[in-house]
Order: sequence, then C-alpha cells, then structure tokens
Amino acid sequence: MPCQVSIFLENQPGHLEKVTAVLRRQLINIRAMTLSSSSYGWGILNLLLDKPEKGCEVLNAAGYSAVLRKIVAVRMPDRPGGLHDLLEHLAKAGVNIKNAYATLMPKEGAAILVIDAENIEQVEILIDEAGIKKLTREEIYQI
Amino acid sequence: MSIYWQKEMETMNRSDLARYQAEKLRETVRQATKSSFYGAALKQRGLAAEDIRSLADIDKLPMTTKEDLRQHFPYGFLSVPRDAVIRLHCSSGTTGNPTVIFHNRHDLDSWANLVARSLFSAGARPGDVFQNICGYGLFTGGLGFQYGAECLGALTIPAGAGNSRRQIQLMKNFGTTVIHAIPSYLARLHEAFREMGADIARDTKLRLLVIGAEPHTEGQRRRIQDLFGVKAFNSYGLSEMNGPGVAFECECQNGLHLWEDAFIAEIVDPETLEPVPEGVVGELVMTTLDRQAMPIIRYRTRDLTRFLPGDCPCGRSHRRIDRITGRTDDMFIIKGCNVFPMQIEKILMAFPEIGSDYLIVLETVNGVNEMRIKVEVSPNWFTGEMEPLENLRRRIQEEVRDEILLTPEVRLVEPGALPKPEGKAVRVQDLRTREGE
Repeated sequence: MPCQVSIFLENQPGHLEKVTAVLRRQLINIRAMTLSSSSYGWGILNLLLDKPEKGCEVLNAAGYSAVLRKIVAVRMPDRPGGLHDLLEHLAKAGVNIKNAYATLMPKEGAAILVIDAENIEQVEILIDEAGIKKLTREEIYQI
Repeated sequence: MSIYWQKEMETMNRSDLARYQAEKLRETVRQATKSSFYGAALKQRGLAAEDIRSLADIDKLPMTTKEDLRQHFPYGFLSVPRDAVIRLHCSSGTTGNPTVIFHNRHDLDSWANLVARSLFSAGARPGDVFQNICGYGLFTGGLGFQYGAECLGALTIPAGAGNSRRQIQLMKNFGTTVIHAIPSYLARLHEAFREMGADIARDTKLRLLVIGAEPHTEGQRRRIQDLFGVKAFNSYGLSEMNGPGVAFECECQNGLHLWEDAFIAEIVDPETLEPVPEGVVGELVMTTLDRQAMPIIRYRTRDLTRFLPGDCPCGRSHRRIDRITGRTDDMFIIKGCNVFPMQIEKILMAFPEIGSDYLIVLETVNGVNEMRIKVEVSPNWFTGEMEPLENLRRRIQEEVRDEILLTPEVRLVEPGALPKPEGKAVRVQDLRTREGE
C-alpha cells in the first residue's frame, strides 16, 4: 500500500522549516502536505513524498518522531463537483474519512484525494468493492 | 570466591560495629578539635573527645551545615598542618564562597578503599575494564572512581564526560566491562550507539553499569537496564563525605549499604532535627569516622532518604538507605503546594510513551504562577495520530495532579528538544517573577 510520512512537531516558529531542510538535503520531493495542530502546542505534519521510505528514514535519523502511515489515494476529475461525485461514492460505500487532503495532477486534468483513516485496510476494501479506482504507489509518488 | 572486599568489616555484627563506631567517633572528635571551627564550637559547649562514651553521645555534638563550610572557607575546618594535605576538591561557588574539602594521604587511601569495596559489592572484580564517564577536575566522581577502581585492580579508563562517539570507540578498543556515568547521560550514550549502528551486546563486553551523582527513580534505573541489557547499580556520595563510596548497592539491588565503619549516618526531621523512626524519610546527617585532614561532624547533607528495615540477603551488616528521594533544598512551592521533582519523575517514568528526559518549568503567566512539564514523545510510540498523543497528555496531567494536588500544563515536545547538559541534568527551571502567587 502507498504511504505518507507523519511527523510529530512542536508548534514553534522554524520547526517546519527544519523538516523541509532535511528533505531538501536528501533531494526528496513533497507532493502534498497537511498540518494539523492540537490546542496544546504541538501538531502532526503529513507529507506525501516521492520517496516516503527514505524520507521517513532520514527524518528519524535527524531525531524526529516520524512514521510511515498507509493511505489510499483515489482519482477525481478536476472540475466543479468532482470531489462531490467522489464523496458520494465513498459515502455510499460507508467509508469514514478521518483525515484527507487533495492535490492536483494538472497534466491529466485530474485531482487526487488522499485518505488517511484508522482502519485503512478496511477502507481499501470498501473502495475496491464500490469499483472506485485507486492509484498505485508509483502513480502517487510520481504525481 | 568471596563476595566481600573486606569480609570482616562488611559483616561485623551490629554491637561490635556500634563499639567500633563509638571508638572512631571519639578519635574523630579529638582530631576535629584541632581545627579552628570545631575547636571553638566544642569549647563553647564545654565538650571534649572524652565526653563521647557511646554512640548515643553523638547528639551532644553540634550539627554542621554547608553554610558553616562556606563561612570558614578555606582553612577553618583543616585539622592537620597545611603541608600535610595532598588533595583538595571544591564546589563551584557560584553563589558566594565555595566549599572545599582537603585530604591527606591516609584520607585518599581510605576513600579509594571504600570505592573499591563499593564496586566489588556491585559485582566488579579485579581485571575488569572500568570506563569512568564523568567529569574529572574538581568534581569528585572523576578522581574518586579513578582511584577506587585502580584500588580494586580494574584497568581504569579516565574517559571523562561527553563525546559519545569516543566513549563507544574506547569501549570497543579496550573491551570495557564496567561503566560509571550519571543516569541522564546514559540515555544519550545509547542514542549514540544507535546512530553509529553499533550494538551493545554484539560490539562490546559491557556487563555492569554504575550510576550516581544524580538522584533518579527506580523507573529511570529500569529504563537504563533495559536500554543496555545489563544491571545498573546505584551509587551515593557527596563531596563533603569524600564523594562516591559513601553508600552503594550490592548485587541484591535493594537499597544502598552505607559504610558505617567510615561514617555515622543519622536521619532526622529537617524541621525539628530530631531523629525519625526507622523507615521514615528524613534528612541524612553524616559524620566522617576515618578522615584526618578534615573531619566533619554531623553534616546536614540536605539529601532526603530513609533507613530500610530488615537485613540484606548479601550478609553485609551495614544498614541500607533508600535511593535519594530529593533534597531539602530542591523542593519548590507553587500555589501553596510543596513539590519535589522526584515525585514528578516517578510518575513520568511509568509512561513508556515518553523519553527519559523531562523539564519542569515554573513561570508567571498573567500574574499567576504556573507549572509546565515538558516531556519528549518517544519515536517508538508515535503512530501519526492525534488521539493517542492527546490521551497521553491528559493521563500525565491527571496522574501528576493526583500526586501533587495541582494541575500542571503538560507539553509534549520533539525528541531531543530538551536541554542535555554534559553535567548533572537540570530538571527544574524557575522563571517565576515576584508578581506571581
């Protein structure tokens, strides 16, 4: 399954910048990201990388609490209502999205929705059963 | 092979030991009277060495405080001519006069023997390779363990503090079997092993750790043992009583035998100065029994501990003290609650989700004093999800509140974010201004 890298970060000026510095040094490209903050001074950074395994490894080596988390990514047309149509399918399939983010695939006139959920294997099965096409690891990492 | 370094002394029955102590106490008072401080103090009370007829007579003698040592710096406690002294150790003296302790050759030999006895009781043997990872110089842990381990007959490496890569290199090159270090450093040393891709069991011959110079909890010790895969033995000492070699854990690891042929230990209520019943925590008060250059009588250590009741299976008759639970002067008061940092450490160490380092910050926010506890989120427990971290924060907060009756702010920080000094760890940062409370 494809993965994103999730990193524990303190909510402090300059902390995000240090993460991106590590990735730049290793020539790792960020395809998409989200940052969610708790109200207690810390947050979690989710990164979709072209080389997630290596990215996670170098961040761990740099001292971060970083983990690989399995995700499911699905394609949608890049037009008004594109996300809605996709969500309609997902809702019918009974998929509960906990954390999600989207990114564009401009060359293909498409967009992708990255889904992060607790029971991700179950989500994958629901999506397959609903006949929705998932992106492969290679497709995601090379957006 | 015997498990004792000095069987007769270590297993002497209690009544013989009491007689021995009384005799040594009389000698110590006689010697101390030669110093200007004790000469005057005893004369003022009309006391002489001959008034010490039994151990119980110790309560006729006045107590000595760190302030006394400071005020009579440098030579007020010296009981031999200046040119008979061959070593001194002194404190930094960042707040006023430093304190200085002098030793003559007898004192250094006696000290080294106590450290050798201590190491032997923890399982170190002649032929071991002993790497002393701590500051040398004025700090007693460096030279104290150096001479002690040499006296034991170990190949002793004066590695000094810090520089983890070199420490690991030394361990590999010379087949180090025993390490002495302060507990807060060992977590970092282990981290360095990981970074270098080295494995303790595979790449070293380490078989025993000695930890001390920094109060720590049983939880902290267990963590260190788990990280290194060997047993860690607690060492207690203070420079006023030589340094290391005052009390030490034997292989049973159930409290620290305090060497009663070299020291008299009393545990008193720090307010009333009356002895507390056995098993009750109080301030440790110590008298040297085998020091010539600078005997010290009934010194208030400010360390809090208790005598552990019962006999130790190892057969040593010298009483055991519990690990130091705090110092009378590191207690802080916030919002009317008395708090010892050890109370908080004990709770934190029970959470495997967080690292071994922590920091208690006291600060004034909008005119109110608050306590904030910073802990590092361990990389092994991070799942990428919010809820487990939020639950962790709440559980720590609740457990600390139940212990000290004050709700702290708990701040989760990135691994490695907390200060890691080369010397003793700083656990409390007091940034309060006077407007608070």
